[in-house]
Amino acid sequence: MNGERHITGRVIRFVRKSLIHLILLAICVIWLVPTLGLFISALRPRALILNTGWWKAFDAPLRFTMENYLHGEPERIESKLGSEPALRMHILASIATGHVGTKEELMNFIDSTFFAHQLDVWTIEDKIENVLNFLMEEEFVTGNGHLTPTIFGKRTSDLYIDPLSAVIMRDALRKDGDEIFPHLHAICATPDMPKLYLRRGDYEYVEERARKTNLLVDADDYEFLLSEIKTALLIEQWIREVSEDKIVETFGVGPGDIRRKVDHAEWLIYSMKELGKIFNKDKAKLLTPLILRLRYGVKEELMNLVSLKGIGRVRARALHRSNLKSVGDLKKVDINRLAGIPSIGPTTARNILLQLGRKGERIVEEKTEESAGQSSLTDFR
Amino acid sequence: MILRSTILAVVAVFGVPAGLTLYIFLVEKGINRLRFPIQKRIRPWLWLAPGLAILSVFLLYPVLNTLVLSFLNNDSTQFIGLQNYMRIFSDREMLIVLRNNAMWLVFFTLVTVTVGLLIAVLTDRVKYEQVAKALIFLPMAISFVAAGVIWKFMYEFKPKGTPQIGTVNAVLTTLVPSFEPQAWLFNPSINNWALIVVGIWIWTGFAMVILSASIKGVPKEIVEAARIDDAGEFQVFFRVTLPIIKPSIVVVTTTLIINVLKIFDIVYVMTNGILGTEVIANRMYKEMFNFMNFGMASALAVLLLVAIVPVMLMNIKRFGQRGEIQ
Repeated sequence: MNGERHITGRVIRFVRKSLIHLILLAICVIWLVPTLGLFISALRPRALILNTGWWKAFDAPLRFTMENYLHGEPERIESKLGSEPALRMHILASIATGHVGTKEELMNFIDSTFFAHQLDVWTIEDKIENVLNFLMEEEFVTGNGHLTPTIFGKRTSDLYIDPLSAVIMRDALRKDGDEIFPHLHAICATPDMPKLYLRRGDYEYVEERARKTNLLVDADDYEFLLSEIKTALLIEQWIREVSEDKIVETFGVGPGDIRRKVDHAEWLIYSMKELGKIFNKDKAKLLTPLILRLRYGVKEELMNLVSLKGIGRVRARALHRSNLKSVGDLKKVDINRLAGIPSIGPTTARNILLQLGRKGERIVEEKTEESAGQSSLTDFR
Repeated sequence: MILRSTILAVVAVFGVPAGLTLYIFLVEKGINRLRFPIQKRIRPWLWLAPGLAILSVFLLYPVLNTLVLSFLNNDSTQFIGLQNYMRIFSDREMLIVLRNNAMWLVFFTLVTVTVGLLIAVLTDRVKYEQVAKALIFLPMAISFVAAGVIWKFMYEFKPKGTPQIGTVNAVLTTLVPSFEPQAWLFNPSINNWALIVVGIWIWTGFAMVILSASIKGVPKEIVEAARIDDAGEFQVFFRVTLPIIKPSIVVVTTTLIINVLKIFDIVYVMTNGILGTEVIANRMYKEMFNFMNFGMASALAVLLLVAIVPVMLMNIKRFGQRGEIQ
């Protein structure tokens, strides 16, 4: 009796135990499978991962790889010709250089590009058609059978700007107004200008300026318009000799951003001036001084001085303040007085005079503190 | 610029500790002149003051600022009162967000604690306890983003008739031939459940570890006594073990609730909140960085804070009690 009970007890315990083992085993498997799947997938080639489940990895033939760890796939190069700005520029360029003269030639040319190697040309045929129509309508190109570039088209292509930018500039050039700011806004409204984003505190002054200005270019989107205005404001501050530190603070940008915007602005204002020669000679005259002003970040009165090597916006301003307002004034100045001007110093003074053809003049060594080169960290050049 | 930041760094590394030391030195000098009972009363406050000051600048101020922002419009230029909050509780999309958070809250917490407890009890009775627990705990060591990637593989879907490469669909179609493969993450009636499962998979290990430790702390004598009195295993568990480990269960539950209210990563990685899977934290992120609606984002942040703080306080209180018991 006792033994029998003993045995039943053991059977019950065994059954109960195996139930526990079974449940635990199931839970462990469920918990482990996802990680296991990832682990095995990490060692399988891409094509297989996408087509078969990870458990098939052990079917013959075994195909494991360390590719995902050791030799990651090189980054894919993708043709960007499919985008409209790129198509506009390159189609115009190929016509402007005389490389293609008919639509068939154009299609043949595109067929031989890297884009055609990667993708099918028919996918962008509509876009090509659109771009061609755009170029004809805006008079970059003329002719029905034979495609001939106009002067406008040639110039645009030479300037390396997006034809859409050229259209925006042309329309702005045809409007009246000789204020500078609307022209700065016009170049900021082109797709070639990288724009600044608005921060929360920016809206007030940007919107105020937008209200006060007679713009040459209409905007289709208010937020875009404000971005364009903000960018134009930065450029305006630069040519009004506002210090870099101040600009950085006002617009919440880095010093490198200023350089980038200003470089773009110089290129675009130059382009606009060139187009002005075709469409509006007066405006070409208006814009010409801006190119130098943008390069050096100076007001108009300093343009003569910055043409000297070694003279930037800070030194030119210092010279101007000391009543030396042009290269002509410098030709007559006493070298000791020049060397004594803050931020100039003996070395620069000698350099300046050398450029003006005055050699071998002596400086009486009387180093004032101010003339000892750079006077503070931010006050270089 | 470089010089300025170098000076700043030097000041930060040496100046701040030096300043604090000086502060304490001066405080002690001044305080020693006072009578002892007064000394005793104000000393802790004076020592705490720098810490409290830092805390209020970096913690209290941002919280209050968020609260203020939540009453303002999208670019914080206009006071709009409770409009943001009213939108949260009336907008159809927002109500879905709240529903999802509620689903997560209830089912995630319930299942995680229950399964964690079950595993803790079962592993207590087998020899390979350590191995089993390590396996269940493994997902805790994986980042949520990686877990999202893992489960995207698991939930992979191919149309019926083609070989399934997602584990879940493959297993179910093999075991039940009549089963239709499901797009787990895209079918609006199941995608929330699919996401919750991922959460459970990650967090069960956490619940298990704490509850297991707590079960081990149940005095052997009490259990023995119950067995001698002829209690069955279930009775021992429900009448003896469970009441003893109840404080731990509460702590685990509250910790899970705090975490599930803030749930973000899983949804962000797996569905990015589309097809009705969005939760409060995801919505907050979108309002902030996609829609630039600072007011709404702040209102959602405040809502989360309000929901979490009571649970947090409860948790802290519990921890305190446990400290007293030990």
